[in-house]
Amino acid sequence: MDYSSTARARTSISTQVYLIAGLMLLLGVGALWLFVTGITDALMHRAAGADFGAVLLRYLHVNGIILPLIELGLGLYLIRLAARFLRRDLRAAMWVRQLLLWGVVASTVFVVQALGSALATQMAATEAYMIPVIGVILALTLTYAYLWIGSNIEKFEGQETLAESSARFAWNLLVPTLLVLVFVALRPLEKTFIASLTDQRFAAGADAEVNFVGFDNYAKLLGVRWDLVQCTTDDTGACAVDESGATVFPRARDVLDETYRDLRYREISTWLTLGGTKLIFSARDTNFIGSIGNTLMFTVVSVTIELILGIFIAMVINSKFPGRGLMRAAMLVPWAIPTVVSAKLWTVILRDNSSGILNAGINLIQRTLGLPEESIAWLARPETQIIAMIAIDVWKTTPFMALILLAGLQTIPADIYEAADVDGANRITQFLRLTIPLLRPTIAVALVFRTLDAVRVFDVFQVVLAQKQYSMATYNYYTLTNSQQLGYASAVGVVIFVIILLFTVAYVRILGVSAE
Amino acid sequence: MSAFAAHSLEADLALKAQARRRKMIAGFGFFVLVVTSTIAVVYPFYWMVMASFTPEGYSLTNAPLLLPDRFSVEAYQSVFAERPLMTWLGNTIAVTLGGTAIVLPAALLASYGLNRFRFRGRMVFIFLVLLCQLLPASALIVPIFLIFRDYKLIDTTLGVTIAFTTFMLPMAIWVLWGYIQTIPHEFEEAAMVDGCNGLQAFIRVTLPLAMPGIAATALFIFLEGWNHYLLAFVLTSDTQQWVISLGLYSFIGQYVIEIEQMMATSVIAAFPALVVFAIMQRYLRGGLSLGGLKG
Repeated sequence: MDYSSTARARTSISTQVYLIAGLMLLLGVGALWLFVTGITDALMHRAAGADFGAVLLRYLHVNGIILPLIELGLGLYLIRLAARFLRRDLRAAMWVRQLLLWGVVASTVFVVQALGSALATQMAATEAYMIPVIGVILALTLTYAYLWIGSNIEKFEGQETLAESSARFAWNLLVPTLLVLVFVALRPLEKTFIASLTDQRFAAGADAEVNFVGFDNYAKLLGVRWDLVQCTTDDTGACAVDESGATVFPRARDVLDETYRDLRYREISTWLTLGGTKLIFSARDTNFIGSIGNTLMFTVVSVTIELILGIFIAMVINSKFPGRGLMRAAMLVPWAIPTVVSAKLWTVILRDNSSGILNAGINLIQRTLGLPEESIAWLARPETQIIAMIAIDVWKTTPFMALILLAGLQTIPADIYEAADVDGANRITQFLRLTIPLLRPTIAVALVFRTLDAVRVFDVFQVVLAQKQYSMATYNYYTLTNSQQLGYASAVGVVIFVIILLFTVAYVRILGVSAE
Repeated sequence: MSAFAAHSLEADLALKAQARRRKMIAGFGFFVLVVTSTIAVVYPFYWMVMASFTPEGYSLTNAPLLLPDRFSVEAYQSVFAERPLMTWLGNTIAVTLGGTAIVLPAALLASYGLNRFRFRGRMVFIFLVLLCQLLPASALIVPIFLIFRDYKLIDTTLGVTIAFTTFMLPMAIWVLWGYIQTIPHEFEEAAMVDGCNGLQAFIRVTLPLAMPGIAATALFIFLEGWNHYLLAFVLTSDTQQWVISLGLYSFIGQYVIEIEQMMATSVIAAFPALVVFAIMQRYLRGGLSLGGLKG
């Protein structure tokens, strides 16, 4: 009798194990099935005669890039897990339990959302409430399975090491961040990339056709070429010369091959003139190439100045002198002021005529020195526009740089400097031989963060310059809002992303920055 | 012998005097540098406040450098009368506080998990965070706009808050990581030996010790939220849903006549951020350490 009851208990336990393993297997196969149907659907359209671009575009629109990868990975993982679970592996059981818990949370959220939309849409009652009911059943099943594994954990074999259980714990901690990053950052990025392969237009009617154009947008955006142009010859065969004595060159589009005209290349700058030839640099989208130049210039100069000033300010804040607290507070004020405010403030300060406060100051100095008064139109000329941008950014973000560097400075023990004093090293030697090398890791990190921010600069350029000159980000914005070319604007976004990525890789290589 | 000693004493004194003089000059130079750089940093801000208190139209023609000879609060009266400033401020506070409330717990858990545990997939996750840190907001505005339109989040404070969250989360993780790293993990181990589970050890031991770092991160997120511009610009068109930075932007095109009003709005926009900053800035005493990355 004893024997039969244990046997019954064992079979019933086995039933539950089979059921849970079956559930896992079902979910895994389901995920794989979604993955496969995505592909077969695309293949069927291809077989039906649709051209390759259209099929690819359709697949990407329906499935995206990330989702199939998640389906594939999750499907294989769940099937493997189900097999290990069947073998009564404790470690697999712990992970199954973990997944069930997440499943419970997810299905609860799903039920709440479905209920919300059911109440909002006022569909026919039965239809609207079917989905929440299914959700509730799912949630209850998963909860039961979760609780069952918890109370029967001794039925499983093997041992979970401390490292394994803490890995599980760590994943629990990361789930919220993972969800936010995947759904609000990576998913839009993926959509941007897909859109960049099309000629989609913003706010086009529903019937507007979206075509797959491959990398055409990128070709147009990044199309640059260098050409040698021969001078215009006069009757004698020598180079013609105009009144001012400069050699006359024909317009590039008149003499170069047809693609130059057909692809709408335009001249950006002349690189060098040698004898009767000159080297010209042209681009298909001169504004974008110009915006890359502006942004790189802005980034390199402003970050360098910010680094130097930042080290100075951080060292001042870190040393002891009367009024130090006051100065620290004062130095950080620009950081606390919203960028739009500081940008606006500086447009007033830099105004072209003598009503601009900077020009008023310059005029005052000129007056006292007896020089003729001269106002500079800071925001009217291209060269000074970029200088103004750099000045605003330096004013605004140097405090942030200083704060990061300060954290590094405070980790340097004071007795190193005392030892250096005893050895007779002066302040400058101490700075170059001690502070800078010891601060190097912090400098590297600060540089990375500031550079990546500067490459993405938007608000200063948009508020102060609008469309007079572009940064990469404002160009991206204006291509979208002005010409409504969603596909093209998306390509701009992807190119910016790739440039930032290249910057990061370069930094990682050169400065040896690594994620801890 | 004695003459030699006297001479050396004299020389010694002279040397000391010279050293003292040099130190004084260095001190004076240091002082001048500190004062000039402080003025350079603070003066534009001072000018903004001053110009906001002049009668309308005054700063356009007079451009006072230090003190205007006429004061007025009419700029403040007119901006409050003409524009929904209080609504904008309310929206900004909602976005900023809401964003902080979402970002802070998520970033805290993530940075703790990444800092304390070694597990498979950790490097992939760190890479993912770094990748999201690199995303230019301008590249994402289109899909975010389209996705948010599907979820009816356009022209809502919630939408702006969610979008803001995404861009703050990676940065908050790095900042918090730096602080969590300074807490010895032996404390948590001791708590676990005493019978706490992982979560309890985190809540009871790590969390209280990390409070200054959490405060600094919260301040950081708050300031960034107050700063926040591009996404709000794209996601809201209804002026009732604007944040204050967008309100300021609306002065574009009219700035020739309304410097005082613009400056008054700037002062109002900067004021809450400065108050919060003044209260919380002591938590930044040790600087912002971005511990997740090492040079």
